[in-house]
Amino acid sequence: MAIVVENLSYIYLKGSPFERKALDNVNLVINQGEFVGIIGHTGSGKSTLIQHFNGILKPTSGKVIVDGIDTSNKGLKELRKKVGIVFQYPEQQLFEETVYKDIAFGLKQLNQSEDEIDKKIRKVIKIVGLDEDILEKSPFELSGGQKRRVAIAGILVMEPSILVLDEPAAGLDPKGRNEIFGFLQKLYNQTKITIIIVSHNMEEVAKIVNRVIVINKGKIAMDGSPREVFSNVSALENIGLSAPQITYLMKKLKKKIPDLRDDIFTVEEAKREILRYLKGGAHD
Amino acid sequence: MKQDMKRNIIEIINVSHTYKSADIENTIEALSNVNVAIKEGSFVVILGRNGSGKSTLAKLINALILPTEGKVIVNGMDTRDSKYTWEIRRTVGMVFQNPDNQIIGTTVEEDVAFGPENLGIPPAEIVKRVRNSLEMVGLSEFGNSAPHLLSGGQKQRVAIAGILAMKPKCIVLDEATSMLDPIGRREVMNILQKLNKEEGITIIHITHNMDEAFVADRVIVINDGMIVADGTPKEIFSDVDKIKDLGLDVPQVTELLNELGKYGYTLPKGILTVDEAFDVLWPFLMNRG
Repeated sequence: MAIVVENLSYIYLKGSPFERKALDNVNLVINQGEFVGIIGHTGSGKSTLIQHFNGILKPTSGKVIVDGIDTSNKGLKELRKKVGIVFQYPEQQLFEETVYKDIAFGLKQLNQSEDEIDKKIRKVIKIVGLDEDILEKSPFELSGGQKRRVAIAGILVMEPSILVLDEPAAGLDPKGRNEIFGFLQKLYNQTKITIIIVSHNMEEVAKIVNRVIVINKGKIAMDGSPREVFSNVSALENIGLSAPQITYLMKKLKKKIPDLRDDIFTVEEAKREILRYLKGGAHD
Repeated sequence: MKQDMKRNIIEIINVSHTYKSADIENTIEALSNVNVAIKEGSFVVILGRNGSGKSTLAKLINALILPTEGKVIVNGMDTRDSKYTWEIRRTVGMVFQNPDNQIIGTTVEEDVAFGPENLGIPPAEIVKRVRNSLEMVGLSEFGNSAPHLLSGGQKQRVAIAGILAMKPKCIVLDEATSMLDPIGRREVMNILQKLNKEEGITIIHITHNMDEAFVADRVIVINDGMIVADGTPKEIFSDVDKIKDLGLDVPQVTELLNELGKYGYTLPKGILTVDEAFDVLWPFLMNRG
């Protein structure tokens, strides 16, 4: 088990007039090799939760165990090597003169040899879908989507076994967003490391993850496969979220044509289902 | 067409804009020979990828930058004439992308009052304008709140209130929703529609979020510094493959109908909403094509 969260509560500014309970008795197990999407509103507690995964925040009560390490303990160096967290707008943290130096920064702190570092950087830049000739450029010459990928490369190059990304596509245009989600899917398929994405973008999340956890008011409101979670439209709406647009269409069509499936959340699936129906075929 | 009777509040005439750099290789032509006129009272959405030139266009309208070639006329005033600069900025207010970068007051009221204070408006009138503006954006109860404790959507609404307090004719929003969550987006979009319908304020909303384009009267798509499409949302989203080639999104239902069309089925184009798609698909499926 990669991450075990037991009875976790977290209170911000405890004892002050601004005291606020951000997480309320959360229990959760994430297994090695899962690809998880965490969705919820701003203020639902999702960012607070992921900051517990590498010990940036310590539980007010309860426990978080990551790969056998209790995050409440001291000496979390080992833990931080295992868990890479990519924060929102990670490109704001780029600071070196060249892309190469920026990606190398973490490895240098670990006293790795220049050869070793060079090999890893050339490998990671391909993983994030960029060309090697970008390595000698200044990070500030790059487009928004490229900068973001360089920032993610700086985390990936540390070879974490758990990668956590907080809103990895925020503020990017559709092409930049597709690039990010595209390489995350490829990364997952190739390495099977545990990936956890926090996102508002249901339609994208639905396409790539194999488990969706919905957080609301500091508690886990829903937890299941994308199909399970997105089929339950009324539960999503009750907490102010919505299913992908295509799900609404299929639900509406099913009322007229009961033979159609409505547990559908991508255009590709909807197309296949409608074509099946038109040809009078049986269900898959 | 009632719209056509209205006069143009913004006229962009043969405008090119180049960002110069000492290094010739880094000289970028952000806009190249753009011509567009915007009617007073319209709701225009400008779509384009990052780097397409859409923010440059926004800054030209507000006289934050001046065109390298051509001219921009705002409510009859040429932005190149510096005697109009302040009047232009009072006519066209701008809301930027990052909600945290444009708030300066320690309370919401103070922040909204900043603009009119600088215009030298008498205090009693400022109080009235601040109250009205906060009411228009639905933040009347937050006048004494500290801005940093508000949500992203609320902060952008404070920024809009600050502009309203200067009684503008037009508001330009430069990706003002891109850092907001879905609720914040909806809040801002609702306010914009209300200001457009009820107050007649011209809205120019720059975004790469296609959902926000449906409410517009007109959608302009920019790519590589040029206008590549201009029409109603329905017209623009009729050409799914073109929009996708430009690196933009189309609604899932629009894409579905387009995909089915590739299998030889004749279905109407430019369907944007679930209800429209349902009305088309239900009879179509009942007859099995």
